Amino acid sequence: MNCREVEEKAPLYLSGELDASDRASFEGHLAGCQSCAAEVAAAFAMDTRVREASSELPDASRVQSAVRRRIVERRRRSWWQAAAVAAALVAAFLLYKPSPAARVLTDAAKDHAAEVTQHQPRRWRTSAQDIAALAARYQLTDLNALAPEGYRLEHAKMCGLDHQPALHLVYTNGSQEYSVYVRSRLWSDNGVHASGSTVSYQNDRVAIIATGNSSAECLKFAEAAARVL
Amino acid sequence: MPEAARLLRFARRLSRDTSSAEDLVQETLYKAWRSFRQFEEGSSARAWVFRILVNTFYSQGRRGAGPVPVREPVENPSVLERLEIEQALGTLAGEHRAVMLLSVVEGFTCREIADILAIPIGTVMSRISRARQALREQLREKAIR
Repeated sequence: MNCREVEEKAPLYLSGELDASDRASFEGHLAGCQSCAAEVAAAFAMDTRVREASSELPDASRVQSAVRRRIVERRRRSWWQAAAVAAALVAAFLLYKPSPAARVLTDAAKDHAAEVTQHQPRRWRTSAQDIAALAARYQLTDLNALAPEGYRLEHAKMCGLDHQPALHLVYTNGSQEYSVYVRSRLWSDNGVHASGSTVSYQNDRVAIIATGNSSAECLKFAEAAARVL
Repeated sequence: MPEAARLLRFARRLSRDTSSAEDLVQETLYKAWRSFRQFEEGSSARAWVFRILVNTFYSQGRRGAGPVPVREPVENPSVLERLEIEQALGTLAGEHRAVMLLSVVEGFTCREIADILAIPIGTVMSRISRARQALREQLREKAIR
């Protein structure tokens, strides 16, 4: 090591960060160079003076108390915030009640999934006469007109949607089956309502609820119902 | 909070203001408590807390370049020595004072100081050398006077 390297590496030497070989090389230079040895000794002596003059530690109890107070306050606030959120969630859970009409649409989608998609055994009416008798309850005469072009009526039966009787009609286009429910009015305003892939249409007298795989097809059923009713 | 007193000692000399040093340490310890999950195990917890303090100090736009306190004459030699050193440290540029205090008083290695101040280790080494030189000149001047 030369004088410039010693000057450069002195901070690492004095902080004990030089590895064994660098330290040996550093001290080897000091042994043969009075000027560098004096510089390093002066730096060491001054570090010692600064360290000794700074050995006294201030009283930090006031700061510590203030931090503890802030932490306690923060924890309390966090607890209240968590409690408020939990209370709001519980209240929302307890107070949430879907509207009866929305429940009917949900029921229709579930009923279609069970009875049509999963083919759970049901006593379907297949004879045109039986089905016409059921449709007469809702003053419906032309059930084929309730479906868009390309669909034919497969079978029908009475069922319940949100504890109210409904006529369940199943239409097919050869590959897909769609359910159409005829029931008493659902909404206060007439027209088309949609929820997921379930679409309803109602006039002053009855509501038609179409549900199945595609919401676009269901909308076609609702449009057909709007023309007929 | 065993480090509080050391942090306060460093903060007082860094900020050169007792009350703002207390605020600085309070903010540092509170931040350390809140961000303790970010502390990487295996690294130095002391260096981590000092880094928070330095970041907080500089983020507040402070540079610790206040006037050097002028004190009344003191007779007690050890108190006199302490005041002389303190005054000499006070004349150093902020970045030189910070490395000197972290290295000599707080006992951090150059690598740890580089981490605390987020600067290259070469810069730490050159700042320590310049700070030592400046301190020696200050103390020599006082001795001559």
